[in-house]
Amino acid sequence: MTTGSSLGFWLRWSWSDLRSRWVAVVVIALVLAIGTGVYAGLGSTATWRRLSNDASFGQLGMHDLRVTLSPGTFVDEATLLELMSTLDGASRIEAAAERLVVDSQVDTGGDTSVLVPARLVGMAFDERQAVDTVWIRDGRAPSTDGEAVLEAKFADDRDLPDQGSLAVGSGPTVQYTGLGIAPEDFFYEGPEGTIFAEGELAILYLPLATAQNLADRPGAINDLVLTLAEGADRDEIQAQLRSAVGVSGLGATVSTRDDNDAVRVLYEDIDNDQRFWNALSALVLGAAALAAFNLVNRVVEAQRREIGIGMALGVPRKQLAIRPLLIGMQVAVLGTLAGIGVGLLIGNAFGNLLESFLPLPDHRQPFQFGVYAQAAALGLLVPIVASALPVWRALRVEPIEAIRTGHLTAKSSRLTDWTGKLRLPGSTMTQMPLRNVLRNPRRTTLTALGVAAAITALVGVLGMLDSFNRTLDEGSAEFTKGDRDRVVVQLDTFYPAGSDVVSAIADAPTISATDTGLRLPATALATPSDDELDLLLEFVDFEQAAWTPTIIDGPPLASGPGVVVAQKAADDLGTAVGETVTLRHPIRTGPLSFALAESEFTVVGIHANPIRTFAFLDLGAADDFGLGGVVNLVQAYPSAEGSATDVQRAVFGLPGVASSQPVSRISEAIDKALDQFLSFFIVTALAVLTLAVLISFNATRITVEERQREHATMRAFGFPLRSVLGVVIKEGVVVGVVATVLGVAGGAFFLRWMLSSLATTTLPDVGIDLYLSPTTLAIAAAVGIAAVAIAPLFLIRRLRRMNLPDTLRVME
Amino acid sequence: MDDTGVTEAQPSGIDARIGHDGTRIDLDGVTKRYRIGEVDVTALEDINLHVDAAAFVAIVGPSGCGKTTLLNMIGALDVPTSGTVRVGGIEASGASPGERAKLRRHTVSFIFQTFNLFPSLTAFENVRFGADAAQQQDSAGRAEEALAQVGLAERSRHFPHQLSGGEQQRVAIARALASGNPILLADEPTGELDFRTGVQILRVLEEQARAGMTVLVVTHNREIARIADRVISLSSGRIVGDGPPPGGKANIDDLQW
Ligand SMILES: Nc1ncnc2c1ncn2[C@@H]1O[C@H](COP(=O)(O)OP(=O)(O)O)[C@@H](O)[C@H]1O
Ligand SMILES: [Mg+2]
Repeated sequence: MTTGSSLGFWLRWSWSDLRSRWVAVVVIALVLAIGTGVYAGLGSTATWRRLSNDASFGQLGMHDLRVTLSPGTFVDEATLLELMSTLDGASRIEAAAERLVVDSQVDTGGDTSVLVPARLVGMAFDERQAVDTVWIRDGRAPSTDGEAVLEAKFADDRDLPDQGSLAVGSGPTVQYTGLGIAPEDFFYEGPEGTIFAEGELAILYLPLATAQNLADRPGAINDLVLTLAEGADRDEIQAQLRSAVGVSGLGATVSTRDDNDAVRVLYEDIDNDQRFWNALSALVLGAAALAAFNLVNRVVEAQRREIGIGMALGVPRKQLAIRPLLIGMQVAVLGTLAGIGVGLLIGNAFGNLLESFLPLPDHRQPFQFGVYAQAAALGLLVPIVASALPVWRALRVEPIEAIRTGHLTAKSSRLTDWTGKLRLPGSTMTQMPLRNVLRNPRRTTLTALGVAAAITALVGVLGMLDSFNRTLDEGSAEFTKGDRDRVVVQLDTFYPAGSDVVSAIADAPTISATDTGLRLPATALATPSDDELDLLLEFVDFEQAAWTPTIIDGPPLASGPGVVVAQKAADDLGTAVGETVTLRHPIRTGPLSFALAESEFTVVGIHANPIRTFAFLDLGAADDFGLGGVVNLVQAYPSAEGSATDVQRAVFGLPGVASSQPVSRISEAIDKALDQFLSFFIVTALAVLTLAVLISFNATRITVEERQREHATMRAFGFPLRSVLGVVIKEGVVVGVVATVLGVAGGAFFLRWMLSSLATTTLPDVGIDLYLSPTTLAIAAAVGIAAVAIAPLFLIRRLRRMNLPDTLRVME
Repeated sequence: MDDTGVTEAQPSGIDARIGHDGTRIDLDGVTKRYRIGEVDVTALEDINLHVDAAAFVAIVGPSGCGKTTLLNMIGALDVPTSGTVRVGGIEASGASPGERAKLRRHTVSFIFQTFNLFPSLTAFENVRFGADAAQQQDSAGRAEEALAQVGLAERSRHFPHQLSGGEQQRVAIARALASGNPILLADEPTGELDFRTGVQILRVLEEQARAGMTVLVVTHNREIARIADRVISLSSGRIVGDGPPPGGKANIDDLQW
C-alpha cells in the first residue's frame, strides 16, 4: 500500500466511493454551482452595462458637445456650423450636425388614442448625420417628406405598432415608418413637472425639412451637436464655443455629453445597482458555501472509522487523507465546472432582462472571467477545506479512538447526558427524533445553519420583493385613492385662479369637478449633514380639495402654514413632525420674475406616499411664495360617463395647458420603474429556491444514511416503514424549525441592512419599509420545514429496499 | 398450530404468548440463494426444521455456513428463495412486508451480535422501545421489569456508550424480553464478549427458555451449544446434525471456552 503504485490504488478506491455517493456529490456540486452561478451572473451585470453603454453611445455617435439656442430662438441652417468652423479648435471636431428641436403635442389616434406632449427632432437620416444618429430598432428610416421615426420606449409603453400615424399638434398627420432611439434619449426626463416620464413624451425623429414644415419654421434650426477627435480637449472647445456664441449675440447653452440625462443615469446607476446586487449575490454564495461545507463535512465524517483502521494498520497519514480529500476535490471540480454552466444560464437570464430594460442598440455580455474566478475560487476552496477538517480531526486522534465501535454514532455529549433526564410524554418513538437531534449538537447546528443560510438568502430576496411591492402598492394607493381617476393638468405658467384658462378646464366636457393647485420645485436642506434633496412642492387646498394627502403621522390636515413630507424625506432631512425643515424655493417677485429664498417651515405631518420627492402645503400658504391667488395646476375629475382619457382629450389643446397625466398612469409608471429590480429578484429567488430545496433534501438524505442501522433495528422489531419514516420526518422537522427560525431572522436582518444602507444609494427617492409577506414566510417554512420533512418520502424506495439483514450485522 | 397455513394475520397466532402452541417453528424445503454478479451463492439448501414451543435450541457451525441466514428466515427479516417458513402458524415465506413486520412485532424478538441499541436512548428507553414495538400496555412497567430481570435496574438512566459490552447486550436482551414475544432469536450474542460476560448472557437466555419461551441461539462455538436442549449443526447451508448435545446437556457452570 505504501509503494509507488499506491496512488493508483487510492484513486480507484475513491472512484468507487464516488460511484456509491454520486447523488450526494452531484447535489453538493449543484449547490455550489448555483451559488457561484448567481454570483458570477449578478456580478457581471455592471461590466456588461458599461460595455453595452460604451458600444451603444459609440455606435450612434453620441455628441461630445451640444449647442442649444434659448427657447424661441432660431437661426438659418448652416449658421451654427459656420460659427463652429471659426473656432481655434475646429480641426479637432470630428463630426457635427444641425438640428431643429421643438416641443409639440401628438395624438396617437385609433382606439388607444392618447394626447401627450411631444418633441420633434428635425435631423438628417443619411451620412450627413454622424452625430446623435437614430438607431432604427423596428421598421425603417423615413425616406420621404412627411415620414418620421417614433421613439421606441414611448411606443412600447403605449403599445403602439411599429408603423403608424400620429397627429402632430393641431396640424397634419405624420406617418412613422419605424421605432428608434437617439443616444441622448436612451433615458429622458419628462416635461416639467411630469413624474415618471416614460410614455409621457413622444419624441419624433424627422427629416429636417419635415420638422421645419410641422413647426412652421422653414429653413430654421436651433441645435448643434458635435463629436470631437480622440484626445481633443473638450473643456477647451466648449469654452471656445461659448465665447463664439456669446460674440454672435445668440442666447444659447453649450452642454457636454456628461450633462445629458441618458449618459448620467445610464452610467451613474451602474455602480449603485452593482453594490446592491453584490450584497445579494454574496449572500447567495455564502449560503451555498456554508451548505456545501456542511454536506461535504458530513460525507467525509462517515469515513473517520476507516481512517482509524488505516492508522491502526500503519498506513501513512498522508495516504489516508487522499481518499476523503478526493471527495472534497471531486465536489470542488464538479461544482466549479457546473458553476460555469449555471453561471452562463443565470447570466443569460440577467442579460436578457438587461436587454429588455435598457433600450440599447448594442448589448455586450461577454463571459466575465474575473468575476467568475472569484466565485470559483471559493467554490474550489470550500469543499476541500470541508473535507480536510474532518480528516485532520480523524488523523489527530489515536487510531483506537477512531475505530472504537460506534465511535461516531454513539459519541457522547453533555447535552446527550442531560437529555436522558428530559422525558417527553409518549412512547420511545416520540423521544427519538429530538434525542437524535440533540445527540450531536455540532452536526445538528451545522446542518441547521446550512439550511438556515439558504433560507436567509431566500427570505432576503423574497422579502426585497415584498418590501418593494408593498411600497409600490402604498404609493399607488395614495395616488389613486378616491373613486375617480384624477388627471393632473399642468399649466404652462401661473394663472390667476379665476382666469379663463382655469375656467375653460373646469367647463370642458366630461370634466365634472376640478381643484386648483400649485406645483413648485424646491430644495430641502438637511440639518445634520450638508445634504440637499429635491422636493416637488404641491399646494393643495387642505380643507376643500377632493384629493388631499393621507396623513400617517401628525395631526389632521388643516389650512395654515407648514409642510407635509414623506417619511423618507423626514428621515433623510433629520426632521420630524413638529420640527422644522429649511427649504430653498422660488419666490415670485413680479409677474414673471422669481428669486430664490431660504425659509424654515414646520413639518406638520407625514404623508403616506413612500416617494421622497413629494411634499404638500396648504394652498393658502402660497402667499408666502408670492403666489397668492395664482395656480399652475388643475386636478380634474371625469364625470360619471367619462374616463381619464376623455379628460385628457378634453383639455388637450386648451390654451395654457402644458401636459396632463392621469394618476393611474403614475402608479403604472412607478411599477415599471421598479420592474428591473423585481425581475432580477425573481430570477435570483428561483435560483435560491432551488438551492434551498437541494440543501434541505441532501441534508435529509445524509441523515437517513447515517441512521440506517437504527432504522433497520426498528424494522427488525416489526415497526412498519411508515413509523420509521415518521421518526425521520420528525427529526427533519425539528432541524427544519430551528433552521427556518434562524433563516427568517437572518433574512430579516439582511433585509434591514440592505434597505437601510444600500437602498439609500440605489433608490434614494423611495422609502422602502421592511416587509415580509405571509407568502414569503410560508415559502420559507415550506422550504425549511416541509422540504426537510418531505425529503424522506423521496427516500422511501431506498428505505424499502434496504437490506435489513446486511444493515443489521454491519459492525460499525 | 394452525393447519390452514393461511398467510393472513391469524389472531390465535399473533396473540400467542409464552407456552402456547402457536410458537412452533416449521421450515420445509427452505433454500436461500444469493446472486452476486454471475455467481450463485447457496446460503441454505433444502432445510427442514421443526421446533416445538418452549425449547432452547442452539444452531452451530463454522463461519459462513448459513446460521445467520437461517435465523433471518425464522425472524421474517428475509424470505427464502424456495420452501416455506412458518412461525406461530403464520407463513412468513409468502407474506407481504407488512405482514412480516407484524410477525416480528408480535412473535419474534432479535438479539444481535453487535447489540444495535439506539445510541440516543437510555438503557431504560431502549428496553421500553421493545415493549412499545410490540404494542404492549404499560410499556414502562414492562421495561423496568425486564431490566431487573437482566440485573441492570440501576443502570437504567445510562446511555449505551456509558455501558460495557456485556451490559449493552443485557440491555438488548431486556429489550427483546420487554416485547413479550414468545420467540427469542439470538445471533452470536456472546461473540463480542469475554468468557465471563458471555456466561452471564447465556444464563439469562437459559432462564427465558425455562420460563417457557422458545430461544434459538446461534453460535460457532460448540462448547456453548452444550447447554442447549437441542443442537442443530449446519455445514455449507445444510443441516448435518440435529439432536441433544453430544455428551448430554451441560450445566452452564461447567462450560470451558
Ligand atoms: N446479502 C448477501 N449477499 C450475498 N451473499 C450472502 C449475503 N448474506 C450472506 N451471504 C452468504 O451466505 C453464506 C451464509 O452467510 P451467513 O448466514 O451470514 O453465515 P454465518 O452466519 O453462518 O456465518 C455466506 O457464504 C455468505 O457469504
Ligand atoms: Mg453470522
